[in-house]
Amino acid sequence: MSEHKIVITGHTAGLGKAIYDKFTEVSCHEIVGLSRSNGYDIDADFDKVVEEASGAELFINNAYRDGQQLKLFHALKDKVDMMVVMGSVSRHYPELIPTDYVKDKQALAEACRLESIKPDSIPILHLDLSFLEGTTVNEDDPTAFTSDYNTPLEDIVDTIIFWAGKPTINQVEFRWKLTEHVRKEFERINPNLDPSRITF
Amino acid sequence: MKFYITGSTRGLGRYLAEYFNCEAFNRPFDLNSDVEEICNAIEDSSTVILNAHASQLKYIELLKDRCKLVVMGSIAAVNFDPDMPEYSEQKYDLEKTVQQLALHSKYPMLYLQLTSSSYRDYHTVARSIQFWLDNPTITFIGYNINE
Repeated sequence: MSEHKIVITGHTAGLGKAIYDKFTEVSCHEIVGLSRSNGYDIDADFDKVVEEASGAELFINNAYRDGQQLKLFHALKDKVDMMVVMGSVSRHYPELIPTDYVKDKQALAEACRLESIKPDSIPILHLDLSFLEGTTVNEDDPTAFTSDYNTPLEDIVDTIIFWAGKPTINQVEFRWKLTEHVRKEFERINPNLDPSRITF
Repeated sequence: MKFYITGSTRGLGRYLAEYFNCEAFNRPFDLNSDVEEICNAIEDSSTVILNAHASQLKYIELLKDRCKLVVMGSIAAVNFDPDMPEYSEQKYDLEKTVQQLALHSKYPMLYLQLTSSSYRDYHTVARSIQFWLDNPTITFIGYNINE
């Protein structure tokens, strides 16, 4: 199946760009980035994205757009050799962050878990990402918020490289901290929540 | 950096003790009843691998603000094992506790959700711990169940 190429969605900004740039630097594989900017919108151009990613040695399912990331997971899990899926640690806290994003990430994590226990599953790495350095918040989204403890993008890139050499790992979770700043952000985006419940 | 481990007479514990040159706590210590004595013997800012199942939560409580902790968990925490219900419940509590404490703890914690196959893949577990020491923003590593 393998065409010795690594394909990543959402490669022009943030974590996707960090991965794309690092793999371009260190890998002898062809690195293919798929983003809206080059005509591969994971929603509008879904079939084109699947066609381009099929046969990849490694597919990095990075870009998020509603349920499209999950749809891509199912469309490609039998058409690539290995897959990395960008999830979110927020999936553990649906009460604190009651958004469709969290529901989507819960569904994605569960799909990865169910797939990974199949005997014939490809190696899948599900990453529970925390707050990332350099993330800009969409000010039009009232549920978006920031943290003052952020994961360096390099740590995530290094984790993927580490996993690729020995893909018996199927899940890695990155740490987040319940700082005073984050606590206030929870209260801001979720004003009806009893603050005493933000304790863990 | 100094390393310690609980339970290292065989298997994974023995391998990790050698890999990280750990000071090991085994018999004549009783890992259940000598928790405080063992914790008092551990130097601050060291790395402690809580390999033995015995009293893991007690060790975490006493060491979480003093040392980096590696906690050996199990897939039984999420895939309930009807043959070992008490073990499954304890591992579930352990996993949830570590996830919560990691939000506040001064030192990094790593929870390893081991499966029967990864439990025998000593080298991969050792490399995972080494990787975490270099990348302590990680707090959880889970392993494949279908190896």
